[in-house]
Amino acid sequence: MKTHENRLGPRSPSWGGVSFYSINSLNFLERMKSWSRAELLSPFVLGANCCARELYRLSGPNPQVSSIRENFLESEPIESCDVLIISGIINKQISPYILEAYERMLSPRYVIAVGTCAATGAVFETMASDEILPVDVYVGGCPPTLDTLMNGLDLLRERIRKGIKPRPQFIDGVTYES
Amino acid sequence: MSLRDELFKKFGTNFQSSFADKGTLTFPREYSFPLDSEETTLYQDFFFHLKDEYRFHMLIDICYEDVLGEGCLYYQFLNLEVYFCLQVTVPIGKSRYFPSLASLWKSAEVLEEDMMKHHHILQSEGRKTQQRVDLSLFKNEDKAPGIAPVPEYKMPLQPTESQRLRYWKRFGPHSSPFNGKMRVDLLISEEKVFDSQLVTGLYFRDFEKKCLSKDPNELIFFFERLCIKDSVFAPLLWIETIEQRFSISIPDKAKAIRMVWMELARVEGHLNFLWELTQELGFFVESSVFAELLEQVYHLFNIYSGKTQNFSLFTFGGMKKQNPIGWGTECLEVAKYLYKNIEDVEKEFNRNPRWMEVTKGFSMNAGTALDYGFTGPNLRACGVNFDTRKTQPTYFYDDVDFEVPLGIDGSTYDRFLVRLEELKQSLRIINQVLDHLPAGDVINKEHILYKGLYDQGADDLTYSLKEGVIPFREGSSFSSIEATEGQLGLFVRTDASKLKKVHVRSPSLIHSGAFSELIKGGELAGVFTAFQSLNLDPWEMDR
Repeated sequence: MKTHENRLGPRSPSWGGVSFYSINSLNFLERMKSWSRAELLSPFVLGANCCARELYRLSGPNPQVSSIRENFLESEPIESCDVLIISGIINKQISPYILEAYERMLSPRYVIAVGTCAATGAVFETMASDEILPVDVYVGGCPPTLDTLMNGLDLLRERIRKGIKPRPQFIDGVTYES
Repeated sequence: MSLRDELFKKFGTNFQSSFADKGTLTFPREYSFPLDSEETTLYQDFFFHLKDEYRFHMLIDICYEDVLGEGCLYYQFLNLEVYFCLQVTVPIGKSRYFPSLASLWKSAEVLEEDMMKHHHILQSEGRKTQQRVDLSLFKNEDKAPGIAPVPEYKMPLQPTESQRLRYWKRFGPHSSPFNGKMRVDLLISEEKVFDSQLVTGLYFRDFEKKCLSKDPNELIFFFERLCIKDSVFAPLLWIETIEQRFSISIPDKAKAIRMVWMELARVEGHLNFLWELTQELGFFVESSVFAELLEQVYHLFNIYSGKTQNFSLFTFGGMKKQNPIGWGTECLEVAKYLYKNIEDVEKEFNRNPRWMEVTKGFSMNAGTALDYGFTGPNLRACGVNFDTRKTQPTYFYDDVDFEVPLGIDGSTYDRFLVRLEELKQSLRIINQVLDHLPAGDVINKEHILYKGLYDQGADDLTYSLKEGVIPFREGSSFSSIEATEGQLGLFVRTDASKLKKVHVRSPSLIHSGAFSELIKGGELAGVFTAFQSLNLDPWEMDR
């Protein structure tokens, strides 16, 4: 298993520009693939904290959440999920378990860091999720509101629809596709 | 002769007590001995004497403090017959070892272990303890702890048939009942569980040490993030300790509104518990009802503060702002709606044979529960009538009419029922308080901290508290509050100028100590339900 030594290297030129990934550059099959992937995300929520409680509200009976209801509560095994939602603080104790969950997931796999603790490690001066995993979308707030959470998920959907690949891992100077 | 007088007579000047229900006792000289030695009987004799003769049946908390290499232990004991809290101070000098009290109080086992992990001190008696993450690994930056291996079962020389089939299996932290909370290793044979190990520490963030570098005003926001089940009790506890220190009185209206918020937080916590339990057991119709009721409570929070959690409401000397117009009537309407719906759901559960079957078993008797230091609904489910809202009423709890629901045998079903009934009682309290809401201001503007805040500018309060312009009163204090899950305690020691020690007494940590005894010999499916019914809060446990 890859350990905590995962560090993000410099951004590769193939990763950065949005114009490179404009939807016209994809052929029909690729577009079909990315569309289906974006429409049926199967997220896995890791964490039992205030942000996770706010996330579970997205699948509950809330008038604010009218458009899309997420199925966070249906317990799917990690092996069939493709989006990892990290919430809560990250320290050296929990990081191997997060990496384990990440490696058991379907590929390509995307990562969302929810809340100030996971995104920046600010509140309790702990690690940020950047330090162990490549993160695609950051959602701020302590805890984030429902709107912010929905925006974060929409952002990820948009990225997938455009065909943007998940951020690769850099381990010891070698690039691994997620 | 009262207990206080008895203690005065026995210990003389070593015992000090300025309140009727609190006292401090310094460890008497005649019992002291070089603690590095293996001689532990005298030490334990003294505490056995306390337990046997003065009926301190509950060990609530243990705290260790290191001042310039000189260690000091603080034990908190509770006498339930006449509510009396005793703090025993034991100076242990430069010794890194101390005798264990686990043979006298079972709660000592988990408390001592927690303390050892935080301060790297050892016990003189080696014994089998639950596996936890070793904090010394934090010191070494290069090494990260990997995933701890699952323990191997050592078969006896002549095993029985069931012993031959036993094996350890890991559950969590990814799988469903322990999702994100903790990892639990179970010793299983043919769907029966014989032993368990909790692997906690996944959310360790060094809360208590980081408190010392913060300002008292900042700490209100810091304490809101201590527990995840509610964000009312912990900051309120911190504010109450500071108010006691500076002897700040708060206006009647602020008291009433604080009461309403405490009960709302209890309603939220219990609804969350019920939602989680029904979700876990597959009662999706009932769980959707609870989710809808939770949304009603969140709606109230949203109107008041614009947030559903971590709302900053309280300040030293009262509340931050007046109630929004119409919030009281909204609150009454929601309370009425909740009460009606909960009664309906209760009827469903009473008739449901499936529910009774799923939640039966895993009982605990009252004596064991007291020995383990249980508090809150988990203790009341065992049949012990102990609620600090009744024994030590603060605010207007004396004038309010409510009942303390009790269980019979402390089974999973009882733990569920007690919480359901408590929820209704909380709604009753909210109704009564809001009906007789006093008029006036919600903040006391006369006290010293407020003047420091507004006369000298906003930054000067923290400055003056930090630099000792407004001096702290020297000394230590232990205060507690009846939170959703039990007694949340806070030990604070202050110098003349600043905070020296903050220690949190977490009810979840103490409840987790009884887990392995509770589930012994139970069915595997029931173990997950029993775990849910204890309602452990990992953020509060690991701190």
